[in-house]
Amino acid sequence: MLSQLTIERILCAALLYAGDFAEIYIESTRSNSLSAINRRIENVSSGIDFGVGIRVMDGVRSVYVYANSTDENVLIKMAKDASASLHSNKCSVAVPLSAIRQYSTSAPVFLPDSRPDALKADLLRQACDIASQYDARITQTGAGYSDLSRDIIIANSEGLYVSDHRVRTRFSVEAVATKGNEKQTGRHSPGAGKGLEFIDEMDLNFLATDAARMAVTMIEAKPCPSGRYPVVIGNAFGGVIFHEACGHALEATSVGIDASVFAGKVGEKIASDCVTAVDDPTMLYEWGSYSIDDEGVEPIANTLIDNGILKSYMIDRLGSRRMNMASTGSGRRQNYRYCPTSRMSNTFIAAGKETPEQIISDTEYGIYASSMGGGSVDPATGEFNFSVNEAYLIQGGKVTIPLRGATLIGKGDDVLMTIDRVADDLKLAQGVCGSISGHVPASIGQPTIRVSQMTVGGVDA
Amino acid sequence: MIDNDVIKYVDFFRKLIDKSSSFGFKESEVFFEDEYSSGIQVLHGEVSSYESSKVNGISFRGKVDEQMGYAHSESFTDDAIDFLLEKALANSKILEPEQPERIATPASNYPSANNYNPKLSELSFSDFESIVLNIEKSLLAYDSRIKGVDHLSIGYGDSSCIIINSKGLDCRSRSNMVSVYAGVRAADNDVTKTGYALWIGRDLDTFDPEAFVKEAANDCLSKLGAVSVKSGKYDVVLAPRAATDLLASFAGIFSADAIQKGFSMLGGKVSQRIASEAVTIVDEGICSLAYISNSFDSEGVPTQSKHIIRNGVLESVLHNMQSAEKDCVQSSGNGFRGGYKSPISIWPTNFYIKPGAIDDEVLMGSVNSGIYITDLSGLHAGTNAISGDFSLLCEGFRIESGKITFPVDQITVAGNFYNVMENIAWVGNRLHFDPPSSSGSMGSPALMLPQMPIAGEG
Repeated sequence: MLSQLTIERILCAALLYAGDFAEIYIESTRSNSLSAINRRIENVSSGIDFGVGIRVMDGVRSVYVYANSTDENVLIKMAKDASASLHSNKCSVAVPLSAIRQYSTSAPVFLPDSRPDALKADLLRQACDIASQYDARITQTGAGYSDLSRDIIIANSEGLYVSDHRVRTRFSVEAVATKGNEKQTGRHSPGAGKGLEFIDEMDLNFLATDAARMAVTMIEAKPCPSGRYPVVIGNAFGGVIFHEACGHALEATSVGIDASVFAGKVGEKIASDCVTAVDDPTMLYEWGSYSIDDEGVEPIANTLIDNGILKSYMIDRLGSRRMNMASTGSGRRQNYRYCPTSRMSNTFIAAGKETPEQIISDTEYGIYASSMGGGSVDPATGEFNFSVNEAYLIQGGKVTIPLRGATLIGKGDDVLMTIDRVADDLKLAQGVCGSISGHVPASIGQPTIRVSQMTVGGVDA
Repeated sequence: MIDNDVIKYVDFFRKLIDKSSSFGFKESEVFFEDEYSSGIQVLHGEVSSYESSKVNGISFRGKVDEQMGYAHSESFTDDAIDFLLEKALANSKILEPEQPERIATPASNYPSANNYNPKLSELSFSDFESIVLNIEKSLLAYDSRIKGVDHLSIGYGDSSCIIINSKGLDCRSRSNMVSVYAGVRAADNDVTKTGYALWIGRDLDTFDPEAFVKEAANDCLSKLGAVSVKSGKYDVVLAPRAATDLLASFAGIFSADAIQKGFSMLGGKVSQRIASEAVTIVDEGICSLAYISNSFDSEGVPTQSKHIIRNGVLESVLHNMQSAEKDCVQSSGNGFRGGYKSPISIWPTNFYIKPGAIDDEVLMGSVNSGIYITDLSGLHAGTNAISGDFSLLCEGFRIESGKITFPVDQITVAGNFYNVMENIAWVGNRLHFDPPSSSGSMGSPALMLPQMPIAGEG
């Protein structure tokens, strides 16, 4: 890493010709990953990433330069070039750095490198074995383990000087069921902001068995009917609906340039009364948590929607300048190769008071999407789509036959208004969210909810 | 051709390979990538952001007792040499591939590829500024319904790759490219739609800003007033861009590795009919129609030009050295990595469905009642590469009596890629190529898929 003196010199250089704000982000990351297919260890890799990103801002204009060099001369030249490219007459001076403030998002009990990889490999084989023994129709299995240990330093021309230590661990298991010419998959991939204690605490038996159960259930499933139906969406990964359809459109990235359906609507009703939604990076050791964001700002538990009323957006430094609102500590980036922007962390719909059973028994005919896949959204139009990994038909208030090949589509602003039931079984699930500042770990979640009417795309037209 | 400040790393590679034998490695290889990039974004009449970078990284792999170990680094110090060798050694003990991996011996001949235009490297930020500032102005003036140009950028990339191994292989390549992207937002009667245009090239003199503005604007404006259609079965014409997206999502089924592991259903299908007679797919390392040509893959094996499907019959699949050895054939030169952090995998080079002879417009005239799909969304989630199933949000136009009548949105199209290949009624004559990525470059003409299930209203 770089010395305080070097960092101060770089910040001065970054404001030499123009700019009202300069920031440096220094990152060093060690990572390991292992994967197995059919219990055979196919890939093992380890690496060191190192890099430095320098940003200079002038109002809402900015320059971002990055390199993986530790050479002070190279970095100072980059900083000067960045400053010069802004072509502005406005100049400012960097405030001397305060004493470094050290944060630690993670407090791993066991560091990723504290156990030999052979033990992690055993765990992958075990997962494959459990999944393949579940049923004769399971023909392929896969498992993966990955960890990351990252140290960052952020300093800026306002005197901020902070560091953070982040450790994340993730495990995945996948099962493929075959019947004739057809294949269906089931998968779980939990993760946490923890060290190896995460794999000690996880229920390997449940994860592998349930992935296999999902694959076998889906191989026997009927094609999903298409049309407009009431849809009951299960908890945990079901939160992808809120993440895609509403979360992205509440980020300053789109709100700040008026390219969101929710721009300028704070205080207005944008969802039905039963919807309260939160983005909370402060949850202890959760997958999408952090003690400081990638701009060095301490985050807050941010209530986005309170009983249907829009309360807040997710705002980074640039968004804060564009929107004239304070940062919510939502500036995130995949690594030093990305300029930070506003992103979600752990984003979920809060628990209601009903039970999932009540909601289903009150639904005469519809679709129960018990496990969701991924999706995408156009924040400008609010149009979203997401796939359903495991779905069932609801008939006469009862969950009946399994359905496959279902896709849910709609518009974010419509769907928020048509959520008519919210259960009490809130649960989070872990994923990776991609946007203009790269792929960041994000948790999504919700209790079981019902949308009164939704377009369901299926094979059975 | 490779820059001097890149060549200076070669000493480091040699040192690493030399030292590897003292760790017990019998064979070793270094894979190195270096990338310079710069670009600007324009918003509201001014340059809103500049970006510039210079990054590189190395992957080391070496063989001890028939087992390969991998490690990668973005640091080039003496400590990094020890880290790479120690980690690769430890990792080699755990890896248990069904088929041992090998390191390539140099080939006697490599096809030649030219992907570098020195003139491009002389462009500066100010050259870029005038181009995109003018595009923003023209787009906003194009039609009063255009409300914003939310993403407008121009970028330059220059990347080099070097592979050196203990068997004397030394492959080097360099490529550069400029790209221009415009994302446009239009609104009419409170309904918002977005559209885009993307231009990629190696010669800015061939960039036609007027045509680019027209393409971006029309991509967006033509969608205004879109409505859903009644659920049911429709003849679907996938526009070249949408057809390419679908092909890219399922190209993995042609990988020998996926076939050997049971993740593709093409096992034992070589020489059999798997697609309609209208379908011919080729994979060409050197391809003048695409954006980039590769003379060697990430293992240092020369690329080839080959048929994958000829008139509906599966002729060959894609191999790297490991999968080829298992099937007792030669590598097809498709052993690519997603970058220095990734292991050797199998990816196409320039992989495309050959266009037909008859004009798209003439072919469209034969569709009585159908949907012309211009955009498919959510491909990463709505496709199952193993089963071949897909169910995707799409946009496009209604076709009635062979003519495009009105825009359509909020519908999904569903099906199975294996069935789709068998049922393609015709292919158009206009070929589209996606920009190159680490997983190859894909192309397709328009495809006509009869009687596909469309979900919309009711």
